[in-house]
Amino acid sequence: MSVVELLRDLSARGLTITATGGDLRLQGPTEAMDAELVARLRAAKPDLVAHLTGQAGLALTPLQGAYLYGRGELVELGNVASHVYHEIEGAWDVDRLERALQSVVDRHPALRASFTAEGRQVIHDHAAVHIRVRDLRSLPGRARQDSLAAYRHRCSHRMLPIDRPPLVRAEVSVLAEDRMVLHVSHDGLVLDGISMFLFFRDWWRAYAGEPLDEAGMPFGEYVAELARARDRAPAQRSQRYWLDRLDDLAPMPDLPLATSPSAVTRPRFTQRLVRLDAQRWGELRRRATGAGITAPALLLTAYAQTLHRWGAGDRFTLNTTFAHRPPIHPRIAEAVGQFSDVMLVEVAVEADAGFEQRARAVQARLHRGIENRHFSGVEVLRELGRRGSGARAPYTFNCAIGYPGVDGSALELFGRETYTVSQTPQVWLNVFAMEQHGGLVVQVDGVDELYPDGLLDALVTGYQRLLDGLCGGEAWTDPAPDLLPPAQRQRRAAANDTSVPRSDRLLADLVVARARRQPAAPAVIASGATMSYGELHRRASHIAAWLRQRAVGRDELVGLVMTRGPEQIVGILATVLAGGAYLPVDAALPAARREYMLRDGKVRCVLTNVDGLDGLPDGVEVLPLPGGTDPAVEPVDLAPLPGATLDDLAYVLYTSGTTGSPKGVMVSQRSVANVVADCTARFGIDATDRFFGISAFNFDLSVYDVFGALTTGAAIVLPDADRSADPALRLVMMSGDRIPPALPSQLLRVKPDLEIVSLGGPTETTIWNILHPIEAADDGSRSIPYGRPNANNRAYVLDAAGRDLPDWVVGEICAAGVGLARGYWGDPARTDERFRTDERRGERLYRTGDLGRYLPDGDIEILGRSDFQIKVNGYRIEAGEVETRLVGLDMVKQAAVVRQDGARGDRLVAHLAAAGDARPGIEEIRAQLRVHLPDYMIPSAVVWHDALPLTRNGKVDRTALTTATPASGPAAAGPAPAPAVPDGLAGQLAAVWATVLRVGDVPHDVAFHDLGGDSLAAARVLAEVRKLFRVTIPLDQLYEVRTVRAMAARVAAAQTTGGTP
Amino acid sequence: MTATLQLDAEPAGDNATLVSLGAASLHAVTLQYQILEHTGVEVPVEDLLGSTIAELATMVGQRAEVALA
Repeated sequence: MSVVELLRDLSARGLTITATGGDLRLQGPTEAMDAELVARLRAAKPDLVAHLTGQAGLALTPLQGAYLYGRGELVELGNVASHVYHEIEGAWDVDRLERALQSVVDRHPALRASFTAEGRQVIHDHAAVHIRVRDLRSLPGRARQDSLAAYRHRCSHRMLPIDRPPLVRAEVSVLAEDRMVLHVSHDGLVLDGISMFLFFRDWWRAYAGEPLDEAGMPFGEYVAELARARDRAPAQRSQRYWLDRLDDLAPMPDLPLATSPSAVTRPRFTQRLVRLDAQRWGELRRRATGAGITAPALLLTAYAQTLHRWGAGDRFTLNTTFAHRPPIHPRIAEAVGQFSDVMLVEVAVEADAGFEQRARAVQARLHRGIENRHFSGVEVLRELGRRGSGARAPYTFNCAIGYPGVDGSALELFGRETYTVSQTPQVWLNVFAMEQHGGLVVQVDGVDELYPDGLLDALVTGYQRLLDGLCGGEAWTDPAPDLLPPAQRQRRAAANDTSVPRSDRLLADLVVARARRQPAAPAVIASGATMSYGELHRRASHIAAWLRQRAVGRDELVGLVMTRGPEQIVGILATVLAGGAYLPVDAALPAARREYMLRDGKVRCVLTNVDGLDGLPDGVEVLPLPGGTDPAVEPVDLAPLPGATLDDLAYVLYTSGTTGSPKGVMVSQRSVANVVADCTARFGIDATDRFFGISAFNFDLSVYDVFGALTTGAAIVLPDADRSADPALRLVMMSGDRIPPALPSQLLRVKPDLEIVSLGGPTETTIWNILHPIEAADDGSRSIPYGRPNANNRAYVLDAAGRDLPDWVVGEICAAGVGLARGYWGDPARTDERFRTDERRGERLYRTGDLGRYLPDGDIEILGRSDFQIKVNGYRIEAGEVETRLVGLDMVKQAAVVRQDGARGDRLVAHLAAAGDARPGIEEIRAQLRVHLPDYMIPSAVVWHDALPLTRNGKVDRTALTTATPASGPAAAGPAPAPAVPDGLAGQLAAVWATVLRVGDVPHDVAFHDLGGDSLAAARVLAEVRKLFRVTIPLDQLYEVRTVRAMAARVAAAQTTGGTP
Repeated sequence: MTATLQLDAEPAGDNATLVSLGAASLHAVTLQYQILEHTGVEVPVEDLLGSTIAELATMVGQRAEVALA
């Protein structure tokens, strides 16, 4: 009787046994202790002591250790075994099947292994096999299918008990005399990929009556060899190789996720397949071989290229396994067991490289890794975890091609495999490539719950398309072959099919026509005064005449230096009537910034409603706008300037610039007329409508207020700041990159018949180029989509090379169509950089710098900025401009500004490193910035750092900064006070550590890993913590509680808040 | 070599590389161990797969001589 069986017997009798100092102690009801039992215990005492003190059996291989550890529920994406489940159809003699399976288990020692929670494996002399038969013949067809489905659901993800060998199970469902389903489960603790083939081959041979060869290789010899190899030179060389690489190791693939991995408590995997038939696979292999590329390198490169397309990044690390069977035994090649190890492979998908070049690079990496295989990837990950660098490698690639004498065909020796799925702990997406009947089969097992709907289907289809393209030849030369699923491409084409014919009438003509048709109708309604269309036209035309007298021409800028008021609308109309373009300048801007804009805009004429305006560049003529006009004066009839067209500029708006200087966006009349006509038609605007002009005139939403109203005969209302909504409100146009999700539903509760539309787009695409009508689904439970392009505009989500990205994958939102601005005023270099002709599409594109992604319904979602342009309370701010000013202050050495959520909405927070000892408060800093920057660009809080945090690439880690706590007053970063730890708690924890780590004394400030702790030990400590203190600390947070003192503080804090910290 | 590694290829000529014979790293590791056992020379996986059989023979011969010298 084995130790495990003996312990099971004791448990059944209600007895417990412990080992202390080499002695055994039996506790429980005395009537359950008989002489025969005591004799058996005495006989097994050495084994029992060894077992109970965790020293029995063999050590685990690194991969076995990872699999055992991954079964724990504290592990992220754990709570699952390394397990493969098969369903095979056929008809068999079940008794013979069972005897054959028993002979396979008898032959291979590894199959008779049980495992202990302490991380040991015990090879038993015998492990009984039983094949359970499920007779479903009496069930009607539907019930039989339901039974099979329920069984599949239960068994496909099972965790075979580690103390009950063999970790292989087989059952047979009998559907008819000649129709059965063989269900087979096996655990990765005892079978690697090659062994799976060998196992089925041996089983089939035994079933067919072929005698199996002599006894298999003792697995202990392999474990012993691994231990010996650790002291040899190659192991030391391998360790150096990997440790030297750690600091620069590429991150894991960054695919879009639907949820946090830690939220998936019981991972369920779905398998998808990629296949090539024997002929095509043969041809592809020959082509690869001819190019000096091995099958694993070929398939791994294609997989990496597919992941790259789905957002993995340009450089990332994949996790591979490799068969590690050193020639230590004559029959190691036929041995069934877990002989694999993990190896990390970095992949770089260079933008312009062809497939062959990439595959060569991947192959070279693979080979260097194999050369340094003597330091396990498990140990590499453990070291990364120890350094707090993140130890995830959840994208795995396995290739079982090329093993002598056996391949995936062995899986179908008993019949056709109709279903299979595998799970691996801590793995999100696993690839297993094999040859079967001459063809290629790639099984892709993924945790669907982790990913957005449809992403894994599309990705696997993309992998298939890439391999098809390689078979066809074209994917060898195209650096980025099209992997976009056709359905996604069709949806986008439909969303971008926006062409609508437009008239060629100038903006001024449209407004003047309205003024002539309805001169008495209100055009501008301000507090206490209403200006009619006739008055507006009269006043604007006289000012236009003044501008014409000064020879203001097409594309010349007229400065409107004003405070808020109806004169701004008069000035805008006057400028376009004269044939020029307006440049709005907020009169409240700092003089230096105001002067910069007027000088940069080469402004000769300024219209203002400010008395005693000063600080203007020399030579500028100023026309103060009169408060009223004589109604008897007729408007001046001004013909368009010679050659005037809709392509002339309507306005230039200055927005924040990255280099410290603002940039002027040049927008044509055609772009304005197009979006105005779209909104007029889309929202049924007519003369009865009233527009609430709440946008500042240096903000391009105001352009729609002015021309949307005045071209349709509607009126603009300039409301007082304290006025609330008009009861006749029918349409709300919400503009902003990200509308608060709950806002529309809140508005609809107040006014259920309201039409609400979200509209977006940067200044460079003219007011809005994209919109989303609020619908029932926008009930606050999801973010509001950015939407789809409006008339004559198109939108794309592209990678850096300008290629379409699949649904859910984040790229840069790019715009095309009539809405595109002409460029940046006086800055052809920047214009060329952002506005480019896309050769592939044959159209001009604007790269917005906004990050976004396509959703499966054809809408685009916006996610932020690709550079460091940020939006705070509706203002777009280039972080660089503010940072340039901050670093210009004497006391600041280093600066980064980020947007953070505050109690009253967004706020701009400055993170600073001091140049000396002085760390002035926010008010002092704000005062100095006010000289150069408008209010909305001045940070409202400051956080001082000793040095700004850096990413692994050496750049300022802005993500980390967004979570740093700002202070609104003077602030100095300093160490947080040490948390109070109750007496005794640290001592109790130290005792737990000492027991698990088998050390005598645990200092409270020494790190867990420095005491010899590994992942398995960590799992045991945290399980014990949960049991003793009812506090759950996830394993991936061990780094944060790596000393007894830190862990005690965490436990104490959790106990006061009630459970999970 | 093709027999030892059970490759599905014609008997190898001197100018064939292991990759051109359809071998992968799996085979290279096996061969690496065998060469090490028989000659005491550790040939890198990259060289095993990328060099022709003639080049391999030269490489192993030279390194074995160095090892003996």
